[in-house]
Amino acid sequence: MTLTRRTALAGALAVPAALSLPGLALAKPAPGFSVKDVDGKVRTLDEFKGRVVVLEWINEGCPYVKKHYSGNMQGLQVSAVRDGAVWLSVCSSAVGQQGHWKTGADAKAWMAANNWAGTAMLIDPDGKVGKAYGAKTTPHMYVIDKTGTLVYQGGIDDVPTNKVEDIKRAKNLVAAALADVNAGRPVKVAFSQPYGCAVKYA
Amino acid sequence: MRALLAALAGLFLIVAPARAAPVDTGHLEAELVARDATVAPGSTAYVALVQKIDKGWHTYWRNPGDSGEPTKIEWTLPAGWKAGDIVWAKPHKLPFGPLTNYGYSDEVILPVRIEVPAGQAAGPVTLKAKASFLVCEQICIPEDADLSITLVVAEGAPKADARWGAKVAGALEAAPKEVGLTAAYQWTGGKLTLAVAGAPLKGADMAGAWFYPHTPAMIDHAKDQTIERGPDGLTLTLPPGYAFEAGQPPATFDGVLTVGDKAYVVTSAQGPPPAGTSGLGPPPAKAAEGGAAGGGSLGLAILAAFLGGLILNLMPCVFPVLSMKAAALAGHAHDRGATRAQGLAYGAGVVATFLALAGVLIALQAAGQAVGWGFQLQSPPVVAALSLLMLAVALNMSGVFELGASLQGAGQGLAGRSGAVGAFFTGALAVVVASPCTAPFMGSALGFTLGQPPLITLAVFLGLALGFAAPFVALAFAPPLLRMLPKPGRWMDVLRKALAFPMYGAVAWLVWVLSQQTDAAGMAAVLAALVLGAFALWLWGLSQTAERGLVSKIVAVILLIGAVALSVLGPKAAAPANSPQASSADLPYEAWSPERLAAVRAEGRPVLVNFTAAWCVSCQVNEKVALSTSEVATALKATNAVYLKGDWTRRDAVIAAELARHGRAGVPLYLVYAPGADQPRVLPQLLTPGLVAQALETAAK
Repeated sequence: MTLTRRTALAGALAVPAALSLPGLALAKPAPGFSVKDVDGKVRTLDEFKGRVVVLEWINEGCPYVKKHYSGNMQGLQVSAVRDGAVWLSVCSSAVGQQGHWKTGADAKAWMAANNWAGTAMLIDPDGKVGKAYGAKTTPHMYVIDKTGTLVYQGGIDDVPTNKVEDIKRAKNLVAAALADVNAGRPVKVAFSQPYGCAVKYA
Repeated sequence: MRALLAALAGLFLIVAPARAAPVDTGHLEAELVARDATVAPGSTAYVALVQKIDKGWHTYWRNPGDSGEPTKIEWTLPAGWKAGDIVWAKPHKLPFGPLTNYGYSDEVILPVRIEVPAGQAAGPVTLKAKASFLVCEQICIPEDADLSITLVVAEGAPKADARWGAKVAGALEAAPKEVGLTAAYQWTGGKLTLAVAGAPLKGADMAGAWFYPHTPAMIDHAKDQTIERGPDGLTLTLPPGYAFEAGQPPATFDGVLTVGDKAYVVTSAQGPPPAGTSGLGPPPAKAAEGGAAGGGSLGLAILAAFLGGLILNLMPCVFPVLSMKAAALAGHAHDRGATRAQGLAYGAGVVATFLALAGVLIALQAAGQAVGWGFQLQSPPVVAALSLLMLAVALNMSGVFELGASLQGAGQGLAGRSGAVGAFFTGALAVVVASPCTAPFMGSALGFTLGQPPLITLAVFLGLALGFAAPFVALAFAPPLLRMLPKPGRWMDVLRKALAFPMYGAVAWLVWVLSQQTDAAGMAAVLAALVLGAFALWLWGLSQTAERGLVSKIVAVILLIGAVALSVLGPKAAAPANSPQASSADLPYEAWSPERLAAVRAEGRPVLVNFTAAWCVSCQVNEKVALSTSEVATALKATNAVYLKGDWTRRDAVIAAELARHGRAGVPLYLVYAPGADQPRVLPQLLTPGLVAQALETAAK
């Protein structure tokens, strides 16, 4: 079953021109991928087998990303990594679109300046990974448990605005999902409406 | 001078409420405006946020879709004043790559209801608001504006604001509203449908109808919504969103339905669809896309209709009429002028009858009747009358009586004017009898056509008529072909009498069809009418050879009228004495219904569906040569498939709707559902045992 689904997903990845993003139902195996990071190194989901993985869709020019990079996102990265999770930020902005870094050095300069604290920054200009996951907004967050099952997808929290002051009254749903996963509980809120800027696909 | 200025200022204040100048926030210009120049204490007023959005940029509806954020207004009001929610204008779709958002471009007016406290003293009152909105083009910019408006409180009826009064009132008028529509959604087997009915939807052009849910997680915004029309509303098949795919379906499913320029608020709960929300197929444009006519363009549909008409000449139900044509043509094979006249008259008869049938069909559909092609054979009186007519033709070919002057003159007499008239009616008769044979090509062409504007429907039927008439007319105009026929002689009389027998066969067939539609009493009436009719025509024939045949002629006419009356009034639509029908008795089947289909599909078994009718000869042929064979029976057993049969012999709106859903206007229609598949596989209209067995095995895999 898993095998056929993987095959189907590989097929889907081979057709990046798909017109609409399939909404991934939850509790399904997370789609595998193979994509370069800022250093040009090929990273795959398989290399993090057996670990909890957080995926974060990023576009540094998006006001919603800026809102959470006021400290909220970095804080979450630090605590997730400290608890043993892998944090992968994915930039699916197409070449020439907002958020796309021309060079790895540009990306690293931004990461340094913003105290980015994840595991790897993946560059996905053709949108393959984004479309495989159905990423719609920046940010759009996914949590994958140790068995490779997608257990959370949606917004980072439950107050869908672009105002920094709203963070303190919001419930961070990614933090809650990670807490559930780490405690061995089923994730209580497995989906929330992602909010933010549209992912700048080609 | 100063006093004058002060007076002018005061006047200005009363005539038009002062407002802050529009605020340019970067990518749009925001302004608060008022509907009313003056408002009374204790009344309801409307102010509105106007956004003049830069070209190429947009703001968002209450549900922004896949991304974005709706406009917000935070009010700072004097004591006692209350502001309601934004009255959202009708949104439009904003596609962005693989995503879809909902919102506004150019200019949008978003009214807000304002309650003026009863104790408010007269004079100017300023309302303050902070409007914040996300403005996006390729990129998104959050912008906000501090706005204010000063309303003038005064007793008496409110006066409309000179500049904005009409516009705000218009925006309120155009905003989606509750208009008493009834709606229900269904979430079964991974399929989400929303059925909406109500007076505003009756007869509306549903093309491009779209449902905008109030909350984003309900549907996948970027995917198509399919429309099925009904006489009182429509049913939308929606791509389900997370709210449905994860466990419990929501208690309510609300949103805005847009139909053309109109937009209505729809609130629904799970439940059976309201009546009249399906059965008329997709809107015309959609039918064209889905039609098997190959792209569905008008030209292709007409071409397919022409081909279908050609093939119709070869269908089993047309054979008796073909025999008549052959007899008529052979009679004039060596008189070119008469042959051509007959050919043209026959063609005219075919065309006139097809167009007349199309006209009746259009009229019935316009009246909201769920009818399809072949409908004329669903009425027992029509079938009975047809059988009497066919008997008359057969007796005529047997030489029992003659049309025209006399027995001796029959040969020449037919060549003249009455021959052309005869050929015209031959054409008409051919069409009436041939119509239920929905030939391959014809099903999709007619499916395309029945949802179209009447003129297009008529054009497609014209293509069908020309195709049907073409072989005969071509023969009449092709001397080399005609020369191949032998010279007239005694053989013609023999041929004519021999060809009478397929006509008797046609009578027998029609009587059998009737036996599926009426009870024993009805059958007795029709059989009596046939005997009476035969006797009357024999009497008429006798009078043609007798010296003084006037009396027998009069008696014959009276008897004939009696026979027609008996055949038309005798049979009533009733369950036949020995239902269900006897054909393909050896293959166990269950009656088709949407519920039964859903139930067996839920069990995860493959399903073979056969939509058939007793009057459809190609259906009967398929049942005989394919569906009732042991090969198919074995395949059904091996794949644990269920065989469902929808019998359209009598009129049935539910079956008509299902046929329309698959772009068909008539039977036969054969479907194979694979377990778990969304859409069935449509089998060809001519079946072989191997084809059916293979389809079942593929589905079971």
